[in-house]
Amino acid sequence: MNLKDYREQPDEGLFENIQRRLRRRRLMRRAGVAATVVVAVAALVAVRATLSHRDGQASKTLLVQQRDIPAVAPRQQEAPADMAVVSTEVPTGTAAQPAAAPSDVAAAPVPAPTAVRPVQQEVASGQAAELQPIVSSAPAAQPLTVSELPVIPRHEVPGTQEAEPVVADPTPVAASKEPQPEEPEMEVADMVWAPNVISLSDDDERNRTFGLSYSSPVSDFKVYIYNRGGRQVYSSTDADFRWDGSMNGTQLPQGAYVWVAQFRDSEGRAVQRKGTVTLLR
Amino acid sequence: MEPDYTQLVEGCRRGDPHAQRALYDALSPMALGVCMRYARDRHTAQDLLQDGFIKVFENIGRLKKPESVGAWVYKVMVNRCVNHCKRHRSPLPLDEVADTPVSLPLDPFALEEVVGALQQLPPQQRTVFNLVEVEDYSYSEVAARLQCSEHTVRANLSRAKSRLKEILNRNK
Repeated sequence: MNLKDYREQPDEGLFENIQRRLRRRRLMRRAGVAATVVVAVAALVAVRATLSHRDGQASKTLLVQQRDIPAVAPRQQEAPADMAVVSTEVPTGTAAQPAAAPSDVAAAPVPAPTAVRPVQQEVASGQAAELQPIVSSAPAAQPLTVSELPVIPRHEVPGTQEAEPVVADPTPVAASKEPQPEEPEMEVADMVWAPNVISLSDDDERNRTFGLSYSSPVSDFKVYIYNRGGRQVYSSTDADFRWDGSMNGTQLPQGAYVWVAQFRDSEGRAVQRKGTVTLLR
Repeated sequence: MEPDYTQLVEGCRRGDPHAQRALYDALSPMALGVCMRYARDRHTAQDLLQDGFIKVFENIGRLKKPESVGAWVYKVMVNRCVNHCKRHRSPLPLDEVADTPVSLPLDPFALEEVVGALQQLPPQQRTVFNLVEVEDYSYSEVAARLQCSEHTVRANLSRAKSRLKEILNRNK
């Protein structure tokens, strides 16, 4: 007897399954490349959003800086604070560094002040960056300008409009990374932002409650929040809901809670997103 | 009549679904036979078969001898099954197993009976039995593939044979 001779006919439909999985894997490979680009764009946009939160500080710094640069033309000093892209964090007790200036300053026919050192630098998410005003006409060392970053309104989440042109042509990085087969496909239109912690003792109302932000309008919205025992403590059909850490008016103990949101995105696709939020008191 | 494998492989390399279907139809009974020996049931075997054929279709461009596609598919299936076993095995306590040779005459039994009995063995014993007794790998090769010692291989084989004998005689 040779067990190698053992044959068995597979069930019908297995080949169709194989072909479906092959197609999906091909799509996933392509989508993985696109997702890599989307993540890169999202990271850049997140940096932009984080930094724009600091533009209040930036404007103060800018004023300090502008007083320190007498050679800069008056037009620069009138620049609106909202246009400042990258702020310079000024540690206590140290001298103020040159702050950001709007890109249109580059076109202004002003001489480069001696205090300005145009240096190109990479900015990572959450990292403070130093950006020089573009007042030099030298083309060799061009600093980062406003036009190089995706511009989004202050405190707004990034939307599809900004990311799509970048996603449209993923070929330049095609061979860079093989995606995991089970990796979910990320659509820019499906993006949901959620805090991972709320603190009931925080002074800021936004930090005392939990809610979601979306990259595009959502419909048929439902959200459920469960405690660690799997008991549902909150639900809502309002996309702009704010959960205050209570259940039927009773404050819940601090700890981790799971949220599940189901909705249709702007293109009508059913989307489910989930995550955890830690409740602190 | 056996199909022209060279032509089928060429078609599969071009991504022709008809060629893929023909190759699948020709080789899937053999491939499922392999998977049935390594899996605990038909359902798992068919999952392994699908995974194996996905590997086959995605990597058929690397096949050097298209006429030997049958042997290549056989090997792909064995590798897929062994990897599956490695991921799902449970460590076998060495002090509980005997490393004594067990004679197991399989000829009185039908192939289906033996495969059915094999499926009742623990994954590691089943894999060791298949690799040593069916695929003719040496103990050291099996030990290297399963990342265990030769003694573990012998012990697993011995226990697998005892269990098989027991199951087959019970079913008589």
